[in-house]
Amino acid sequence: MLSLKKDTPIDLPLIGVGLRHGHYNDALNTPANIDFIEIHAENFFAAGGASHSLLTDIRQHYDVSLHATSLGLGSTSPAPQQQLQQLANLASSYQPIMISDHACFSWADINSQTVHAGDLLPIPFNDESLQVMVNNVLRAQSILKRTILVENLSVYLTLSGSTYTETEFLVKLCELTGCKLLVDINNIVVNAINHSLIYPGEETVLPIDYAKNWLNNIPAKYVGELHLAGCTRVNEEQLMIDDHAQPVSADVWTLYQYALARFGAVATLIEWDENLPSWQTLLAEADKAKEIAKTVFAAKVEVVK
Amino acid sequence: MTLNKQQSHLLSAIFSQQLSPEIDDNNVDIENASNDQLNQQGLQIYQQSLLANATRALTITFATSASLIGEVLFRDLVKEYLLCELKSQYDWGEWGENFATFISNSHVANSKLLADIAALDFACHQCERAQNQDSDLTSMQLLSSVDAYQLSIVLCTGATLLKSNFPLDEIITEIQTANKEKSNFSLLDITKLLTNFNAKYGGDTTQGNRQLSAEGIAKEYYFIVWRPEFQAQYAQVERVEYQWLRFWLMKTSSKTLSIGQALDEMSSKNFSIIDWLPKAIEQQLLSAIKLRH
Repeated sequence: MLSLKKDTPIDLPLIGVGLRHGHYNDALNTPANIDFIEIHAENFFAAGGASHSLLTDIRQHYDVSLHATSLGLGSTSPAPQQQLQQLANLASSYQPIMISDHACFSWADINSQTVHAGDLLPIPFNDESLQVMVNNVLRAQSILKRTILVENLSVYLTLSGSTYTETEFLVKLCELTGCKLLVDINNIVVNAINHSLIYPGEETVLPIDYAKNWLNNIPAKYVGELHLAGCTRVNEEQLMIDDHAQPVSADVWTLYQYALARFGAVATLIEWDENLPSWQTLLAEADKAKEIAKTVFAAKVEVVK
Repeated sequence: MTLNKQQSHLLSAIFSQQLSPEIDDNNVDIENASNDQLNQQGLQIYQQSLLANATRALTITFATSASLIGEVLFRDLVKEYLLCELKSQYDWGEWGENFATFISNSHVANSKLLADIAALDFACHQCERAQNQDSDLTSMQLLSSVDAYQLSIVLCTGATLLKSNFPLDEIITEIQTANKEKSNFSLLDITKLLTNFNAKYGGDTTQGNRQLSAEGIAKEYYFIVWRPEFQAQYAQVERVEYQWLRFWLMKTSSKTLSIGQALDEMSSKNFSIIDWLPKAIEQQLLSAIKLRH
């Protein structure tokens, strides 16, 4: 087995990468100076088979973060007990350093049949949806026996009835459940870019300013992880799609620096799901995140001096 | 509108795979309703995402049949399937249980043959996802020390039986071989081969050359799907072996049959456990011999 020396000093954030099928062999056979690997929980929901053997091997090399995409924590039809139990079993077997899912809904009834969207669908931000999410997050945390991280969403349409801003909603969720936030900076940028298309009557705001304002409204104590990614713009009249198919964008790198300065040494993950690059290219993105973190925290030390 | 209704209506609109008429019909309460085009653009993104995810999932689950049907037609089939088979599972890996039946009833050429290949795909996929299970070959010693009426057979994890009017293994091998031998092997070539097989083995009743058994009915072929390690395998078996294997895979039986009872059942048939055992051990199909309780 490879011995992977991790040289992350205690005052720097843990930096990880998302593990996708195309990188399984590389992750096992190529030394990588990363602190953790994020896996999508649903890829390992099968009762047995090669995936578990792989995950056992991966776990011997790296710390693992378990990122779920199917609980639908904002669903009025709550996730089945079996689904939560499968996630709990995975957590019990592989002892992830973090478990996360999204501020979205996935379950709903169609013609009296409970259906799963297979996607992360938007919720309005109001008292009713807050209560639903609080109940679902508390239930998940009870079964998982730990607090979870909840990720902000990129959205392509909005449901009516919001009485809170997204950040107000997420902060209230943290206050009421003890959960923390997985702040996906790319999702904020995507929403910022799409904002002027979804709300054409509103004043245009630069994505960077929109995102900084968003980050400023989240208390540092509620942030448990950051996601960084890139995505593809079709054209200016089309909504931007959060496809994780590109390198981390310049805007997201700028905002990452801003977020670290604001939130401290928060665990950080590079996501790249489509148009998968080489393993080395992905690791280079993680290295870049490390360099930015070193710069931010070196600067902070200078300020304290 | 309540949150519950909002969520139901948006999900209905996404699964409908249609734009504005469905939104209006379902009274989806999407903010900024005056800007219909953008709402439609957003809805379309979710619809496309659903179709892409569903297609990706079923392409993995039904790898062989997807490759034979071709990317474009397969995607169209998935789209139709989404309309009639709402996704009630949260795990895409479990979705598609009825896809083979759906193909069988579809407009696709050679649908019966493709449906049976899809059923084989699904059996292999499920087999590979089954709970891991260690085999216990030392338990074979029980065969020499314990009465056969006190013993039972455990097959390897995920083992499944199928039957078809087509020799699926031979057909798949023949297409794979043709693909290797011909540099510009196309989807049209595949369709021609499938059509020939379909006519030969009974999918097309207008053809006079279909394979019939001695009794004059369409011949049946029997298959076992199993998993020696992590990768599923399949093989054609004789009818008598199929009948024998069924004893150990019956899920409805409240009490497991003993080897002695199973052999009694097989007494009038040309089955030899002496021949079967070493082969089953070598194939890693046999997992253990266990004492009946």
